[in-house]
Amino acid sequence: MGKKCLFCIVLSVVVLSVLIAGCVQMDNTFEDKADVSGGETSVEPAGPVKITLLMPQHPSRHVLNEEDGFYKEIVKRLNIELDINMVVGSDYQAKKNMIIASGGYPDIFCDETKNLVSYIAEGIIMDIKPLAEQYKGQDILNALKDKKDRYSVSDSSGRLLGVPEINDVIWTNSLIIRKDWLNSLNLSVPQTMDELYQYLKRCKKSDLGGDGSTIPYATRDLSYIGIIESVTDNKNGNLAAWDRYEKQYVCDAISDQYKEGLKFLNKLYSEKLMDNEYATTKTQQWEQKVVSGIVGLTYDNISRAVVFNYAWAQQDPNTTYEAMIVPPLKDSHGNQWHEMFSPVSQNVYAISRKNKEIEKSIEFLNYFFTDEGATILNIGVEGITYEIGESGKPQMLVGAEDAINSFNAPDTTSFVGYKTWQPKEMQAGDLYAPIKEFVALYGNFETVAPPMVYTEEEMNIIGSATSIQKYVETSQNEFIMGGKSFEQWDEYVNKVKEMNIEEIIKVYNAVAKRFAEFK
Amino acid sequence: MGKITRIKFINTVFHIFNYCLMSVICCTMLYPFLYMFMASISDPIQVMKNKIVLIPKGITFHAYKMIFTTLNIGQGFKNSTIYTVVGTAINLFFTSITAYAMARKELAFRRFFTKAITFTMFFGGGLIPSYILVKNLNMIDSIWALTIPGAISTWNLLVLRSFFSQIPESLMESAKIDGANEMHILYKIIFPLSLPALATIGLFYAVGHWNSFFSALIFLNSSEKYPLQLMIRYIAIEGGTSDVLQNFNDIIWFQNIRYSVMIVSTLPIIMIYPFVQKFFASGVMIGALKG
Amino acid sequence: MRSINLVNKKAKSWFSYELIKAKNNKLLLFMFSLGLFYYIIFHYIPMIGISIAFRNYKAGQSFFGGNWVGFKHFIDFFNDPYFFQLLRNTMLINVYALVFGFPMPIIFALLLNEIGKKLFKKFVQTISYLPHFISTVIISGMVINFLSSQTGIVNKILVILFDIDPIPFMTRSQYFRGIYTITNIWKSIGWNSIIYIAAIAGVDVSLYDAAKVDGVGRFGKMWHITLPSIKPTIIVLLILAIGHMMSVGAESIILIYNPTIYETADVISTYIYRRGLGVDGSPNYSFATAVGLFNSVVNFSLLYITNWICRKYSDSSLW
Repeated sequence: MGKKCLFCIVLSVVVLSVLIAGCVQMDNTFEDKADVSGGETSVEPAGPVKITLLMPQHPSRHVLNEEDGFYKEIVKRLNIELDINMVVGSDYQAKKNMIIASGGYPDIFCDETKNLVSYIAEGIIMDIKPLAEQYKGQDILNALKDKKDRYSVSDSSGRLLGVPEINDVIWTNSLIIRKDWLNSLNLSVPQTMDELYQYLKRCKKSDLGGDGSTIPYATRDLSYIGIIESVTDNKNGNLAAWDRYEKQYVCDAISDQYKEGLKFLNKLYSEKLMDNEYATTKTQQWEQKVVSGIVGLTYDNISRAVVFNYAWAQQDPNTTYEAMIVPPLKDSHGNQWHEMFSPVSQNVYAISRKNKEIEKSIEFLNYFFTDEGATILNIGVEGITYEIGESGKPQMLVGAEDAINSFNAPDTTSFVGYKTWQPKEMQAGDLYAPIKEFVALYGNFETVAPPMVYTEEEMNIIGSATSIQKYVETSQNEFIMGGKSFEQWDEYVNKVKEMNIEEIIKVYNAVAKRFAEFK
Repeated sequence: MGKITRIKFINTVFHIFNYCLMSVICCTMLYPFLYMFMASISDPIQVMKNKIVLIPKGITFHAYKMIFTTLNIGQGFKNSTIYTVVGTAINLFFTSITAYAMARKELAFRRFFTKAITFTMFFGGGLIPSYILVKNLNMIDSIWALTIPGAISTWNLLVLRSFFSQIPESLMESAKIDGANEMHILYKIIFPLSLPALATIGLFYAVGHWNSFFSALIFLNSSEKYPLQLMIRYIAIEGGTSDVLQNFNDIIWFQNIRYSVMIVSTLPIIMIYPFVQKFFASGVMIGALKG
Repeated sequence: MRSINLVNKKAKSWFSYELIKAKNNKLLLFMFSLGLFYYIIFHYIPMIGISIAFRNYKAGQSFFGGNWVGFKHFIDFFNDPYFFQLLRNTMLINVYALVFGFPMPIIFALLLNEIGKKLFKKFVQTISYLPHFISTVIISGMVINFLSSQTGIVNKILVILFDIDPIPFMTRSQYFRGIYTITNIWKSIGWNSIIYIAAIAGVDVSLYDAAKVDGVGRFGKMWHITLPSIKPTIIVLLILAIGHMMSVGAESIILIYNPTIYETADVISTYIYRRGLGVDGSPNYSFATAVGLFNSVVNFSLLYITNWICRKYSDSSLW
């Protein structure tokens, strides 16, 4: 009897201790080891300092690695060894969420400001402002001197969430049309929705792309909505859209303007004037279609016009293909304008609380705001990728394409630092001049929507918007593709109202008001 | 007389129908690969305009050249092979020892253990706890994260167990009388007898490793450790062509590159396949029939 | 299998019986412990993580914190406007797989059995296993590329044969279930038929001879002899298929679907993937775990019920 008892007890103790050991192991991810060592190291590391970096990869750029010119320069100049984890854009959120959830925070990682707001509240990342002041981060602070710039990357109590990218090159989106097709159809540049429709119809009829494969209007991802920009005063059926004229947020997904826009899209779709895979075409597929010359009209970043023209010229110096940017159509108040992108990126690089090399991290992030660092980021290294020409301006070195690619890798969805016009001018020179003109003419600088900086309770309300978003998106596709008829429009509007869209609009307007009153 | 002719007629019709059906089935199995190969060597504009059905138009191997000179396909192959070989070895080792032990009635608490193990087929901790566990064991971004958490597949374990349990006890008892212990029995008697079953289970595991991409997606960080399937996913499905396109106007090769990548990664399977398929008929049904 | 008759003994004696076995077969127990430790570490310890389904877990928190919310996440899931759609999609895809996909390998095996020429039979069999070895990634790549309305071969053939407009298969919800089911059939018909072919080969030949004498035709033989003989195999596999009903593989669907066909393609496991990893919106780990738990429980119950039914009404079952 005794022996058996003893055995049972021993067995249960063993099993229990294994279980507890496992639990403790699972649990210790959350112990704050970082606090123990603080920012000081007792022994100065002799070799380069190691910093882990998690960043998204642009699908058509290669993964930044140790062989790249960019990487080597950084190691040389800053004595930093980067442990880079680059994740392809579409998987980035999932991978990053998992890494954060498991407690294995990288030293520096990239994320959208709206996610970082909750991270800083939970203590996962650190406020960059005091760190930049303490260590060599002056250039970062100088770059964000402008109240609006600083506001867009801070949380509601003014803590700096991360280091953004600041673009000299301010883009906008617009319709881009095939000038040679316009000419062969004897049409002038479309100025109304009806003229657009006529152009598309005749493209299809004359089969300008050849072999019956013409796609009059083709875009990528969700850009297709751009064609109805002017109809909706640039609100594009968003769930919460900034109305320039009313100067407040409204829900455009249920507006009549949007309904008109959807009817137009539905007309295009049913008459096969629009890419019938519009909702699933990825960037590369769209690029392939345009470069093959079968697309008559598209909507994207205006720099694409230059890129396409350049590509066509490379293929065949005598090419007739020509892309032209269409001036914006008049909106409901008769104004012609495009929404500008903000110069400050909304994807920023944050420092996690487990970072033990804060001084070096700040130096690294700060570097790209200095002249030296910005140069490397934009045009590389003198003698390797460029040389100073007679005009005193940098010129691309002949035969340096490989080198340039190896410096281009961090030109990903977003990085940090100053991005200037230099690389574009170096590659395609005067081709960008009309772009700058266009932006000056039609780019709208005054009424950019206020940056969205929420409090924690507001984040919770916004969180519930995912269901509404899904419903609106699904309905949008159904209206366009003919799955829902416009008789069912009122039903759709009522459903959205039932899902409590008013609450969400209220939050958006509260945030806008806070910004207006921010000093 | 009429009845027999009628039966003969029906039989003939049936036979013709059957043979035709089987031929059609074979065609549907083979045609996709044939088509992809033909498309990948055709002129890209023709491919994009969907002009290819079976015969290639404007034959060019440019897409293959692009893949082999720029993309790390070789690296992906190497990684996948290493993961498959190491992984399957680990699988076979753990599974066979555990299955053997479970098959022996002399195992203490046998029924309890069987139930506890079957339970894990239905309930699990989920992705996050598994990730945290792997991270705490310092296996992230290493081959171990791909091979150890999946070391035993319960389904394969039960199949192998039921196979072992059919080996007559008398064999093992006579070995015991001769002085062998359990390990000896396992190596000298059981293994030689069960080679077909082990080969089949090994094959199940190997195919699983070769085709997996999700664990690599979750647990691997460095792109030089990516297995082949993950690379293919980016190119064929996600639409990323990263290194392959050096110049922007090479984008017209996009569709060709997709097909070429898929062909290149399927080739090894197709080549090894004839040698391996001999094992199936005997091995597979043995354990499965008895469940 | 002989069952050791312990039913009449008291629990304490069962335990001591097992202990005696342990003492006498230490090596065996040791060999088993390898696998045992594997299961404890990699399957049972992560189960502690299930507790986050009952709490409001946020990134960076401990598994043992407070924040207890009980069944809130389950109730949120049942009240989610898309709950029924997810449930419906999961069940429907499985029903299709069962109704259309399950009989296919059986029919294939039966028909293949009728082929006379050995060489041709072997050839067909060999080719039919091939799709099983092709990875899900490649198959999904084929599906997406072949069904494209602009560059896809399927539409090309349809246009040539029937002179209709290309059908955008991947952006219309109504096609998804068919596409998914057909793809799965294509992939697994050969492989799954192996078991049936082997079982058919094991049927007593004398039964066929007797039937021939009675003048039973080909189909009669199939219906009255072959099928009943392989019934145990069919039932076991059917139970297993039903038991997997709720866990329609997220992987294969994730590779094929896109937002325009969520209406029929979004199933519980893909929903868990998106919500749990924050693919579109902030991740909600607790919610995803709760849904996963719900999934497992339903899976298990279905299996149990099916097994019980089979045990009651036929003589073969899983346990």
